[in-house]
Amino acid sequence: MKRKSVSYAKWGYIFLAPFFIVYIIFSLYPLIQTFYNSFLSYVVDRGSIFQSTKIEFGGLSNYASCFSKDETLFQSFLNTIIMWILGFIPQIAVSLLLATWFTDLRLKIKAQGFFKTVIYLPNVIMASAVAFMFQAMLARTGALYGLFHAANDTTILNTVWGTRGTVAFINFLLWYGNTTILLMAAIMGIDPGLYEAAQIDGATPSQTFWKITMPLIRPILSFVLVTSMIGGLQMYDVPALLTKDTGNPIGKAYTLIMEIQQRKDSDVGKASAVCVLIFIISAVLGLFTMFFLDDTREKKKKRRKA
Amino acid sequence: MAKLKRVLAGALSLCMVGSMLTACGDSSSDSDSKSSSSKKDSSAAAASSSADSSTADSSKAESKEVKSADDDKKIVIHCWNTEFKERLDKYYPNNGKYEVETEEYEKKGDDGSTTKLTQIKKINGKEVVWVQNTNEGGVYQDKLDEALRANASASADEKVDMFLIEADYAMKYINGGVTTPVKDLGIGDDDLKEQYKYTQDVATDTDGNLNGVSWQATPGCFMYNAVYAKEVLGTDEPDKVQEFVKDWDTFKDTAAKMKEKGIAMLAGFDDAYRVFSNNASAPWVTDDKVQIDPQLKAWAEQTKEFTDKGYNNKSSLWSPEWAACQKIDGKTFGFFFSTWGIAFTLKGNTGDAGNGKWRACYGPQSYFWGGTWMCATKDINSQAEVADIMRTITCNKDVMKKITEGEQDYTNNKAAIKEIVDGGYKFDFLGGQNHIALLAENAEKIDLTGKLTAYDQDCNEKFQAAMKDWFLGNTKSYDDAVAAFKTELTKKNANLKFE
Repeated sequence: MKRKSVSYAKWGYIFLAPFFIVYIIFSLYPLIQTFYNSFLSYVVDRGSIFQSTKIEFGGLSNYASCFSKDETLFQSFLNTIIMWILGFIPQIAVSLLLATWFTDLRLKIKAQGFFKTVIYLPNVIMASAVAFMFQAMLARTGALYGLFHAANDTTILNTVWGTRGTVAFINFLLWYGNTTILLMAAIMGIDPGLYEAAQIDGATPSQTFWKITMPLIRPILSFVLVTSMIGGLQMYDVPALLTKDTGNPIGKAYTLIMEIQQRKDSDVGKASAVCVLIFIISAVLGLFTMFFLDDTREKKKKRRKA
Repeated sequence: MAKLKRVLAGALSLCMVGSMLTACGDSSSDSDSKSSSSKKDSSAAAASSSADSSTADSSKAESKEVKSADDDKKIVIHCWNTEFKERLDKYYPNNGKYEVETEEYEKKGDDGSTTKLTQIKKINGKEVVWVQNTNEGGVYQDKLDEALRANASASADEKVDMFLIEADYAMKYINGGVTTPVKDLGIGDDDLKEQYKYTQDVATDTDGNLNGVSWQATPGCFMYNAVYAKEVLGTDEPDKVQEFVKDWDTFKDTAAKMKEKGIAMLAGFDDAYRVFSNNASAPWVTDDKVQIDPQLKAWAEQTKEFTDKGYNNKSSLWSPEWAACQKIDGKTFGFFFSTWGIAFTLKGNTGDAGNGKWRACYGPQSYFWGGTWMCATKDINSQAEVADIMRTITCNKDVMKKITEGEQDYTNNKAAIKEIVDGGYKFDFLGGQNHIALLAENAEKIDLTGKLTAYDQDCNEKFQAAMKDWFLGNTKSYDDAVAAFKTELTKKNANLKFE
């Protein structure tokens, strides 16, 4: 029994402690509270200052009412997914294209730093500022009204697809720079020798892209997909500002978080139930994507072959 | 793989550092706006800057550095725009009984121009602190409620001394047990006798105590573009134009005439809303049950017809399109505005080009719109100063006369108004018209007894939003729009029910 080596482990725990303390107070406790509240019938009367609050145990009634027929939640879930997909597809396509160009050994694009900065810039602007800007530009008095306006002579923000499209476009604009940087990092991590060897063997650029780049950046792609999906499910600021919290036209731009924001001051129980549902959906979708895009399964196969 | 992990970890830590930095940026700008919140001036429409000050406000509520100070050194006032502040800055000094310390600041206009104004820094040696939050979406109320709930235990300097309210949610505060009746501040019936009765009805609680006072009465009128009136109707004289808008049927016929010349009668959907809703016979909510008054249905149906026939410019209230319609060549005939809207909104939006080219007439129905009441909080600790502010701004005939002359506000003092009307008052912006005389006629007719509820703002906002979808053709029928209104209203107020 030699116990000469000094254990530094405790310092690790000490340095970790602040995070866990903060996490427990500000994240874990509210999380548990939310689960608890979701089982209560918890109604606050906003018409009084010392808000008269009715709290009683409601069992699963909040969850049941989330799935009732005249409930807007499912529609809002669909809206959220539609607006996310509309933004994500162009985002990933443009990002992949730009990342490939910037890292291509043969293209050798000049002034890369400049372009990268410009591409990343929209991400630095606050989403709310961009939303207000688009609102002003698409208004009847705005600069873009001539190009984009609805058939009945109003702004496209009065039409379902105009609004959804604008939300998706703003999300695309804000995030494609960020994704490009991530994907570039991934591509630069690939051994250049692979590309050289492929070129010597006469592979076309599209072949190297599909056969070398794509398989090797899959972990990062799945990371991008999962983070973007979770961010997408929590879409709030842009649609809320563009539609002035109404989610109109006809609630087709309502997102799940907007549903929570509307309810949180009065229908606390139901709002908590919606939070829990979003939590479950995020978890399921996240696990699903991780499972299908995880590259460890393939590695296992390869190892078996070897 | 190791490289990849490094890249991933790098990216993540970058993200983290980035988010930390953004947080820093935010908080620093918060404290920025906090320290300068009294100096910074934003127009009512600048929602973003008021959002800033709202965060500043919450951070202020949390920080309790000055706890020991028993003697109050600050007068804290909650408000949603700068209208009252500007009145106070301009008319309290020299008129109130307390000594005032002032300083200069620059006000930024919507067009980027700045004007130098003087603001009150201290009254009777106490610093005046303004907490401004946007009215939209109930933000002002939420922040104010929070502060009022904590007011009893707040330190002397942080206690809210005074807050402003609008008719839309006045009931909540007047009956909420958070105010000091004005008679306890030493403002008696003699001081109040010249005020309009409806302004006192709004602020009287169920026990008959007057809990708030206003310096303005807000009777409305119909503002019209004199250039278009001359062009289409052949006259721009208020009395004759009134004949073209004397009731809703005639109003519609005139709209058709305007349409032929490519001019819209109204700017948008919500313009006529207050004219209808103020003439409703029942309140929105009785015992948690919501009722849609026939007047509101009438508004919806008329607006639908106007929209389909192209009698309006399809804009929403306070939107940039709506503001553009107020330009003198904005292709819009008229606007329903109450006293504050003329000088505070229309005059600014129409600019120099429209100066002298607007006129006022009575319109199809009498109504009022808006208004600001000031209340003293229950836990007030600057009684003397707040009482003097109230007495000076809302009871002093001479001051109120000056306010009307200087700001075109319709002040809440019958004697002052009478002197002005009799004195042949002229407003250059309206081509020398005496619109105060016109408003005086309307003001006497306002009756609000039993019509206000604490939920009016939510009801109005949600009803307008739901109906807009019907006007635009996104919702098939009025009934569908009503169904959407019900869903949205009960989301925000789960205790409300429909029959």
